[in-house]
Amino acid sequence: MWRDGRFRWASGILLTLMLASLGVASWQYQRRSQSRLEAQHVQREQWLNKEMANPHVAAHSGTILFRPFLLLSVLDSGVDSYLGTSVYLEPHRRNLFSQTPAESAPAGQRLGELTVAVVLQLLLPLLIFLLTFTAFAGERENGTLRQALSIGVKPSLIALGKIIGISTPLAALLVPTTVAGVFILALHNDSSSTSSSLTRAALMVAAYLVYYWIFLCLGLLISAWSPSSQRTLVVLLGFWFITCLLIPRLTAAVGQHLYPTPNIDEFVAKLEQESDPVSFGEQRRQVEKRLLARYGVQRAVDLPVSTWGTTLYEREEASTDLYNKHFNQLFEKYEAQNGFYQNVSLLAPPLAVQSLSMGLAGSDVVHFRHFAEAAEAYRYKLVQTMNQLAIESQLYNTSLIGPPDRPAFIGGERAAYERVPNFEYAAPNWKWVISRTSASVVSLLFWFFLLNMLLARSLRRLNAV
Amino acid sequence: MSLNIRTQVNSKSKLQLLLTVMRYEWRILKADRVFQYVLVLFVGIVVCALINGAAVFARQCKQAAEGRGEQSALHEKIRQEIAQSEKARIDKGEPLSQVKSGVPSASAVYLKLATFKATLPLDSIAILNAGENSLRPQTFNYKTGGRYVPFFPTGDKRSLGGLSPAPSTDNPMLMLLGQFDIAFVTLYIYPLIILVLSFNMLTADRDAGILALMLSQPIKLRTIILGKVMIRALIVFSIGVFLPVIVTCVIGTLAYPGGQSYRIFWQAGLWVLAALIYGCFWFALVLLINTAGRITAASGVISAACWILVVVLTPALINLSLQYFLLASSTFQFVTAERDASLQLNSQIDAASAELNQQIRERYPVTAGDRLAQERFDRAYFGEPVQMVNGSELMADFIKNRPAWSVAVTTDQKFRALSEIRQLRMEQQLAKVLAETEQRRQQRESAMKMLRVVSPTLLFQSALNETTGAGNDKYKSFLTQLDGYIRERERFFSQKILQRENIYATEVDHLPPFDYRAEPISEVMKRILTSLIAIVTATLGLLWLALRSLQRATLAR
Repeated sequence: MWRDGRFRWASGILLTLMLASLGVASWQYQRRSQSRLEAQHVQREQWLNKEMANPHVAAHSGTILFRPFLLLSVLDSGVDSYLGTSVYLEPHRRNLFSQTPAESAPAGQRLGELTVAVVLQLLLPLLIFLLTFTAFAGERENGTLRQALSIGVKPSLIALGKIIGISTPLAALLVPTTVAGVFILALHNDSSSTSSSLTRAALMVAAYLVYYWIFLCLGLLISAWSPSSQRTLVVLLGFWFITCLLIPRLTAAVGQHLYPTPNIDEFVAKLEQESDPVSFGEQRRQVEKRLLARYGVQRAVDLPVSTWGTTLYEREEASTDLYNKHFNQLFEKYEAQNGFYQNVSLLAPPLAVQSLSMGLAGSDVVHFRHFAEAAEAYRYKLVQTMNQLAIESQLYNTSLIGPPDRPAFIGGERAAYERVPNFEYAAPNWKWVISRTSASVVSLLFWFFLLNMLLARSLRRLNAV
Repeated sequence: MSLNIRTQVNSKSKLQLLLTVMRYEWRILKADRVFQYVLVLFVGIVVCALINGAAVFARQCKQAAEGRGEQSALHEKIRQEIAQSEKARIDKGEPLSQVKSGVPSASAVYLKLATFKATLPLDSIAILNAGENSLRPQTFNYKTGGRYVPFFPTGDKRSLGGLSPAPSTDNPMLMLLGQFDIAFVTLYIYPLIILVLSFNMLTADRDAGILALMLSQPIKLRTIILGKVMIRALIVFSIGVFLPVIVTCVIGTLAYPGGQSYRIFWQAGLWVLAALIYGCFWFALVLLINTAGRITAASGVISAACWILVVVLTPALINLSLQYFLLASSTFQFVTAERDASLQLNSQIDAASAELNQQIRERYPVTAGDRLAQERFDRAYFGEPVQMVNGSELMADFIKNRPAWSVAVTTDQKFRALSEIRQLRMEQQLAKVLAETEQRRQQRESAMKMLRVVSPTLLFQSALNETTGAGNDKYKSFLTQLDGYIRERERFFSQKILQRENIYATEVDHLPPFDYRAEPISEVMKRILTSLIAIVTATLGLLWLALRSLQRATLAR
């Protein structure tokens, strides 16, 4: 294999591509993580140092959260370029994420986003096919297969020899990349994420090894079946093309038709249709009536709590429930489409490894949803903390117009803002990931066992001519 | 025979020979099982891509049409409200020029029309390239008057407050994979089909000894090659180029009439031209591979390697280089700068707004249902000059260049001024980060334009995007026009509010909804010309190499 110039060139190019894309991705990760941390710190400082008229105005000035990138996204950036990087948190509404990197990318970026995952998922299998297509068919054409079988060498032994002979140079490609990957993990290490990243990385390595075994077996199988090496090559390249290029897009298109997502206008229209028709003023009157009865006082000014703050609190609860309902429906559509994609991976292993790889790298839609929900929980906590302060302040019990009738921030403004903790986010663990990509795991295992079985059977009936 | 007749007979013979070779090739291909499968697969792929592209386009168009419909309906509603109000005043014998409660003044009309939606219209030809349009926002919402308005960059150092792109609710996974449309088929599959059908067009005949036999007949090698290439080109171009374009023109003309209907035919022509040139490049490449003197299997491997190199690796390497050597602007940078500027400015503007609100409401309190109190409030709001302490520094700075505003102004005029101050100050504060962002973007675009010369696929993709209106230039043009439209509207209302004028029903007609003016097709042609010339140059280079190689090739084994 080493003497084959084609192999040396191909593996040299692939190794260079993998290391180059790993290097660039690592550098970008470093840069983005740094910028993100700084930006988030600035947002926190801005939040704490605000000077606002009252807690609700402070909530309205809001804050911004920036989506984190997991360390393994260096290997597989998944859908990161197509997801918003920041979300504005404010009362009364849940916003969609904005500032998508793909929006400002130059034309042509979509045509070739080179990541380590692209090389591992698309190009390396091609190399495997190019290495295996002559394994049996070529030997058959040369007459050497007949000779080997005639001296009593078992086909399974020949196959084992082929596998070792092909795996060794492949390992020469994969080992440096793995070492480089581990080095990068260590370089960007922070103690909270190390063990999780290591486990995910180990699972990723296992998934890719199974994936390459599938392609290896397939190459040997077709070579064993096919009468000529040319036909073997055509069949294998056809398989590669159909499963790596055609089926993914076709499946995504079919999934979109089966589980259509609403466009933004439909999404907003549904929210507006279902939003509370009762005006703020009307609800405040109802709240006032209820509170007067509860506290047994005759006048709003005698209430120990603010009717204004209480109304805001209750309206926030209702609007949050409404927004969460529709956002959940939207995410469920995404998951239905992606679930369909994973199910179709029974026909095409590249779909399975792609979903699994993105999941383990934390660059898929489910991780995005996990973060979005954490951000929403934080938004709700921030807004309701401010609304709670508004309630306690007893503000605006007589009129909403005019200067506040008492201090807006009891105990000081900064202390009030400090009641909202800093946003902390922990990515889910590997078990959570596997539970959500189980269809892909099943699909890879299915292909693994199927091809092993078919290869074993085929070797028992191997023809020398 | 005279020379002319001999020439004519020779020409006719050459043509007949060519047609004979083509017929012969067609019979061979038809009998080949692999060819049959590939043809059926190709037709199936093209049909699926057309159906999906048309469906995606239909969805995009529906959304755009709904947005435009909403705007037109709102304009009409406002116009009718004003017309009714005018009629009521005329019936009462009241002069229309006087600002009065109940008659919409410029401020009130502005507030009603302040929110609008602008949609980038799609060309019908975009059925062929439906996926590219989904990457960028197609609809923008403009809403002013709020306290915390986001600012959106609309150009170098320009940004507009209250302008927010409608986010996409498409599945990000779909955006990653891309749409299954004709552009995808043409970029990836069309070259592959050419290679699959042609990688052994000479080598198989040579390996089987047929080529030597054919050349023993009075037929030139070039005629054989031309015949083989032409029949394959006819098949591939018919299915991969003409079929989708014709179907798209039919759907575009029938299902999406209106606008400049001739435009789709020009765009279709450009698409066909670009696709044919791209196809010729691949035929030239595969011809070079065939004349290199290798066996069929080796030609197959080399063809596959060429496809990977040209379609997959070269664009990917170019993008990787751009990412490393030319940094994209950090999205965090703009967001942080905008927020910082906004918070600093808001506290001043909030204080000024609060003072204005307090003054007017304290002097003219209104309770629900009290019509007389409301009328008093409106008269004062629109007619009574008011002083301001908070924000006086902001106002003083504003009035310095606007002497017309130095006269005593009313509450609504002061709110108007504060809104303009916010826009001006934010733009000044964001100018630096916007200029840096724009500079980096231009550097990346220039670098991409330079580097893509080495990638026929990127050149072709850029030609497709420009032809179908999915390119950067149309998007920039849209943002520029939108920016201009909004500023013009704001200027119009500012003038009216300052002069304390009413807006009449007839004037509303002079405020049409935003309508994007498509650039002339000649501009598109100029932009794609460079790309097409580069591909043609590469094709001619490959043909020259192939001919040279042919002269040295061993034609028999």
